[in-house]
This record gives sequence, C-alpha cells and structure tokens, in this order.
Amino acid sequence: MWRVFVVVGVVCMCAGPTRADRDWHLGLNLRSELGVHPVRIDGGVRLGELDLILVLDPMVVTDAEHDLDLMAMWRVSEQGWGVMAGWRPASIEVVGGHRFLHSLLVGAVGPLPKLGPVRTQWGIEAATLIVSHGAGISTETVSFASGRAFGDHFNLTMFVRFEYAVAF
Amino acid sequence: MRLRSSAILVLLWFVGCDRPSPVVLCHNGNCVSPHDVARDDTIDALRESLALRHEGRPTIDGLEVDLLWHKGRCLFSHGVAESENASGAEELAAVIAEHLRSEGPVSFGGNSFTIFFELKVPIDPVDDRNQAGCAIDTFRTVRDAAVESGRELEVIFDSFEPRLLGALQEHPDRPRSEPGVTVGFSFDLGPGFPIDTDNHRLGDFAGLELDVVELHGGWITDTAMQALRQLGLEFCMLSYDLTIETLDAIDVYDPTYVVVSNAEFMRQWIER
Repeated sequence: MWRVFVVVGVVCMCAGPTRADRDWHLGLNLRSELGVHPVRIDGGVRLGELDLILVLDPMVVTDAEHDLDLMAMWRVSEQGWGVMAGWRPASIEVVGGHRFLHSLLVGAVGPLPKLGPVRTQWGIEAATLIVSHGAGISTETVSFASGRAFGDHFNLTMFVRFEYAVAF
Repeated sequence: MRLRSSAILVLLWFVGCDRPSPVVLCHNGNCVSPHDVARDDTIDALRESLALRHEGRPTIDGLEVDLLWHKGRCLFSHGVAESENASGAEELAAVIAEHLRSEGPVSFGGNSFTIFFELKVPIDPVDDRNQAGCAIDTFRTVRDAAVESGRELEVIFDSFEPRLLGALQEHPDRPRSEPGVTVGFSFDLGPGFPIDTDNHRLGDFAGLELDVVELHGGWITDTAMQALRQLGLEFCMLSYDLTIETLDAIDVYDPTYVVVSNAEFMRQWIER
C-alpha cells in the first residue's frame, strides 16, 4: 500500500512546474493542554485552498496512547484564515487490548508570522467524543440525555503548527 | 497551567514514574457499561455495579452515592428532580451491608471498602440537620455490617455545601473513626458562580474538618490545584466518562480516589 503513496507522490511532484498553492508539508503539531499528547508530527498536502493533514503521535511510546488526527482545512482568506474538520480515532492500551475513542473535530485556523522557511499556524478546535469501543468493554456512544451523560465528551482546545513545505 | 502539565508528562517519561493506582469508586452507584444516567442512584444499578468482576475480584474499590433529605424522607437520590421514584436510603444501606457480609473480597483491593456519601442540598436549609441525620443513620447500618464482618471500612462524607458538612460535624451523633472504620470529610470544588451555582469558593469551607477534595480534572486551574496540595488534602477526581482528557488528568494529578461511570474501562486502564 505504501508503494501506491510513493508513486502518487512522485507523479504529483513530476506532473509539472511547481505552484505556489501546492505543496507537501511536514512539521509539528503542538498543544499545551491535558488530553491529546503535546507534541505530535503532522504532515500532508496542500492543494490550493484545501489542506489535507495526517497527525501521528510519537509519544505513544510513553504511555501506549496514540492520538491520531485526520484533518481537512479550507482556507477562506488570502491571509490564511480557514476552517477545519476532522476525525480523531485515538487509542489507548488497557488490559484486554486497546480501547478506541473516536472524536469529531471542528475548528478554525489562523496565520502566524513565518519563521524563515517555516510556516506557523494557530488553531482552535472543538472535539466531540462520539463513540468508544474495544478491549471487550461495551461500546459507548455519545448521549445528550443530561449534562452528566455529555459533560466529558466535549473539549475545546488550541494548538500551534509549525511546518516546512516543499512546493510541487 | 497546561504547559506545566504537559511538561510533567514528558518528565514522567524520562524518570519512568509508577502509574497511578487510585481507589476506584462507582459514581452514583452506577458504573456498568454501557452507562445510562437514568439509572444513577438506583438499587438495580447498584447491585449490578457491586457484581462487576475483574480477574475474579470486584472491579471497584467502593462507591460514591447520593443522599437527599426530601419531604420528610431520607432518600437514595441524585436530587429533587429524581426523588419521586427514588429508593429510601435504608434500602441503599441494606444492599451495601449485604455486600460487606458476603463471602470473599468486597473490593478489588480485598477486604477494604470505601464509600463517599454525598450529601445533596435540601430545598429548605431548615432540613440541614435532618440531612445530617440521614447520613448518620445510613452510615450506622453500613458500619455495623463492616464491623460484624471484619471488613476495613472507609467512609467519606462529601458535599458541595459547606453548611451541610458543618451540620454533620456539629451533630451530637457525628460519625467518628474507630478500629476498622475510618471516617473523613470531603468537599466538592468545581467551576464557580455563575458557571455553576452549586459551587462555593474554597474560602467558604474555612473552619471545617476536611480530608479530601473532590474535583474534575478539566474544571480546575493549576493555581487551585497547587493551593489544595499545600493544604494537605487528598484528591478525589470525578469524571462523567473516561476520555483521553480525563485519563490524562488522572495520570498528571495522581488522585487518591477516582469516581467513574465506567468501572470496567477504569480497571482495565489501571491494570494495563
């Protein structure tokens, strides 16, 4: 499967002259709150106004919790403001296997000053835990029956991204 | 606050600190998965929660249950809105007593059992003394069962409302520790007014005997946590559900007790 991605990547890179609105990017996704690990690696491809991002979590080695994000960002202004939506299929090791917690992500992003060749971006994200399953424990889905049912399923956080981009 | 917490996570990785192993308490006596809030503080959910097993032992270490004095009755109820069909507190006490008298371990820890009795706020402050009496009567039934069965019992009386803790501590029959039975007092701390009108400021609990503070890891600032640590209080961390955020709060703050609605997930996470 990885060979497919390599071929696609090479084809895209060879498809023609580089464009200012298309690039591959790789960098860091940082946040300072409890919950998702504070330092993660994010990478993706920007195609005009659309940016597709995969966030991987190297801190999984510390506690067997992996906070993975799949995001799409849509730039709505020339300055770099945009909206984002995504999915977080986080997993955490427990006795009996792994528990998977799936959250829906929505948010907004804004530009920060460039640091030399490194792009920076600020974002605010609302994460809603929709469903949890795995490890032989019953599946739990979000309920709006009361504040006690929903209270821990919603989290609002901010993040900062630093990325190095290569146009194609 | 959060940057400090994140730095602590990184530091823990380097020094290889032990994982938290808190006392697991069943929130509102209802911690069977999938969780249904409509079954909070009900006898059926309580029995099912006490019956949970992990590797042949009870999954939980104890309970967090609510007591309410309402319309002349001592109820096992989350609040006035749920009181109409609520069981009496004497039935709650009988079920717990039956559990303490049963064969084998009564908690994941073995022979010890911990109960947080949360005193809910009566509509009329005139009933504060009745509410205290309600808690004392419930305690006595459970205490007698523990002593007769040779169990180690820990009972923590807890409330959002400082005047209820005061009424209990000033009551002539106030519960006290004895051999095999430990009695303590806890207060609940959450987002202050006007976000949550139930909550009082830390200073409102001045003058009371306090051993534990019950709080939610996502609703407390680092400033407040530092102050609470310096008061020598033990932490009881409440979560309505176990999410990445609430589990990380337990990792960072390492509370003595956790109050959860999904005991199986909690136990499997602690024992991983």
